[in-house]
Amino acid sequence: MARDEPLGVTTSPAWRWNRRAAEIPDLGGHGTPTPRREARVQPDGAASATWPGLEPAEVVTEARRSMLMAAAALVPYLACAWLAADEFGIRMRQVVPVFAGVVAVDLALAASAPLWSSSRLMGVIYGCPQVLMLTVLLYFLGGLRAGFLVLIYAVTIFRTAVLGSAAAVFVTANVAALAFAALAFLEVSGSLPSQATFALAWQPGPGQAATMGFATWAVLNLVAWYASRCGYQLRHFAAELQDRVSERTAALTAANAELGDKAKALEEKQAELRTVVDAVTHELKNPTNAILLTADLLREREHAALSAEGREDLERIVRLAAGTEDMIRDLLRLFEITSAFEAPGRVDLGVLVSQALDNLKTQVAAKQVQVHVGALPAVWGQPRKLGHVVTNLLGNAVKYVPRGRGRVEVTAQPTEGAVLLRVQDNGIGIRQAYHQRIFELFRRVPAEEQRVDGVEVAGTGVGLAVVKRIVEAHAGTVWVESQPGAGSRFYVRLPAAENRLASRHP
Amino acid sequence: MTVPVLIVDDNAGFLRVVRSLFAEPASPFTVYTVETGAEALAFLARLPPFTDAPRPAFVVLDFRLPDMNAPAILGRLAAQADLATLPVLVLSQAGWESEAAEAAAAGATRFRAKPSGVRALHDLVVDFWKEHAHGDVDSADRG
Repeated sequence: MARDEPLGVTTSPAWRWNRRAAEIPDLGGHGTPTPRREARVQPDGAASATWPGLEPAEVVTEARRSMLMAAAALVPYLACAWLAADEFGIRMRQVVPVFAGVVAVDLALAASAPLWSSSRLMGVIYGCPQVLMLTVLLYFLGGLRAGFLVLIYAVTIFRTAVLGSAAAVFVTANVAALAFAALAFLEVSGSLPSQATFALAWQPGPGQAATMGFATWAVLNLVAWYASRCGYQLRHFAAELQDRVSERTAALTAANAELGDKAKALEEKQAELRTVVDAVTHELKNPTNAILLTADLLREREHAALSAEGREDLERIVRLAAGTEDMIRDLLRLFEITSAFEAPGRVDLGVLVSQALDNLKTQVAAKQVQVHVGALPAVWGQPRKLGHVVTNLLGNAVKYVPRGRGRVEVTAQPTEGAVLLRVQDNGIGIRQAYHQRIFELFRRVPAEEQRVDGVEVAGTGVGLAVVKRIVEAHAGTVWVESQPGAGSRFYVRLPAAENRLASRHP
Repeated sequence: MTVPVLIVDDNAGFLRVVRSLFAEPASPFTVYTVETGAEALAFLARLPPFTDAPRPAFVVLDFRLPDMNAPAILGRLAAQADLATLPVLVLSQAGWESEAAEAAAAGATRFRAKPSGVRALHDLVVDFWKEHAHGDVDSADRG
């Protein structure tokens, strides 16, 4: 951040505004700013410190122009003073050097604009001596009586500049000048007696009135010119903001529309897939289930009537049909879990683990497994899917530990914005060769290689594949550390809830 | 005195197993089977060709049938005063949670995935009968 901050402008609201604009994320092709806008949103101190949304070159131009305007404004003053010198008794010999001095300083500053325009302070510092010199000028020009009157119109002119167009500002100035000229004419012609007591001492002639009128016209037009420049800046700034807002709105609308289209397409695909899965269920699972039930019924009824070989064959039919049905069921489960939409949120791993243990309590009790659960933090994700992950890992751990001596440990530790969940067991372990493969669909350690308490453990090779899919959909990772006979440690790295919440509410 | 039960399923293999399972003399049920939703509704309304059909103590209904799904049938039952309270056990091959929710919303008494063994199937049906339909039969007997 310090890298971007030019000295002395850290508190400039304009700079902050630009900074914020620069932070608005780019929305792909829709939000790509034009090169000119790109330049404007750079948090460049020189540009943004003085004029919001202007490039450095534009800032120099603006600064130079303001100085030239200040100098130019003095020339008609000098002309008016010179014209009125005799009428009002102005001593030009005193006035001209002051005029020349002010104009010279203005011109010098205009010439050196690139050097100082980056600092707002410079404008303020110069404002003070300028006001002083202009006051000296006013004193030489007649002080109170000559100077202050016409500037009352500036109020109107500036207000117009804020609210109206540049043309309206000049119209206002000229209407004011006209009004004042009319007043001067009425006073000089005697139609309108002077009201102020100090003015009674001085009865202006037609020449003096004309000079005053002309000076008023000139001064007010200069005020208008200056004011319209201010108005221009305001309008420019507002327009810039408006542009930016509509640009971003358009980008967001486009992005939203695109997202909507994608969501709709995805929904259609999902419905299509669901139809296919429904058909598969019906066409595959129904007959498989019927085979299984029929074979099972036969086994129950005709067990005694069958030969030993016949019984063995029937057992095999039941086992194969049951395995196929399990596989179809697991596949359906995989589809149901991974395709279901769930809003992500804060998920308490402790709650998930205790729910999983509740689901597994029959198996845990049957094998007298000791389960130890450590302190578990919250993660960010989809609760049902993560619950499936936890149930699956715990279910596996319970499945592969020996009866009566089984021990399962669930712990977690925070690591760099993530949570590392560990499910450790003292089960049969897994050979290195299978450490990757067990996470692939239908790939499992051969049944003959995994005997627990002398019995082959059955499975479909779907469970860990689902775990891997869910974890990876959470931008997480899952892996195993294990040796045959030394138990297994399954690790799941998931985004921490705190990390996610923090980035959502900076 | 056996209890009449209506089993609705389009899988002939499944119906055969169920009929066989409850055909023993000791079975508490007389099993009637139909294969479509329309047949089931006709059976329950005693429309031809089921004009002599008994009123079943409960129905075992497959979620997915060729002509209509279980929720549609349940909706039709709910609209008829005499059938609205009939206990219905909905069985599903897939066992989707979405199906369970749909069935429950339509007024199913219970939703289960189809069991993988005859023992489990037998126990499921008998337990359902004891829990939901037995009382009705008892009171009918007493009446």
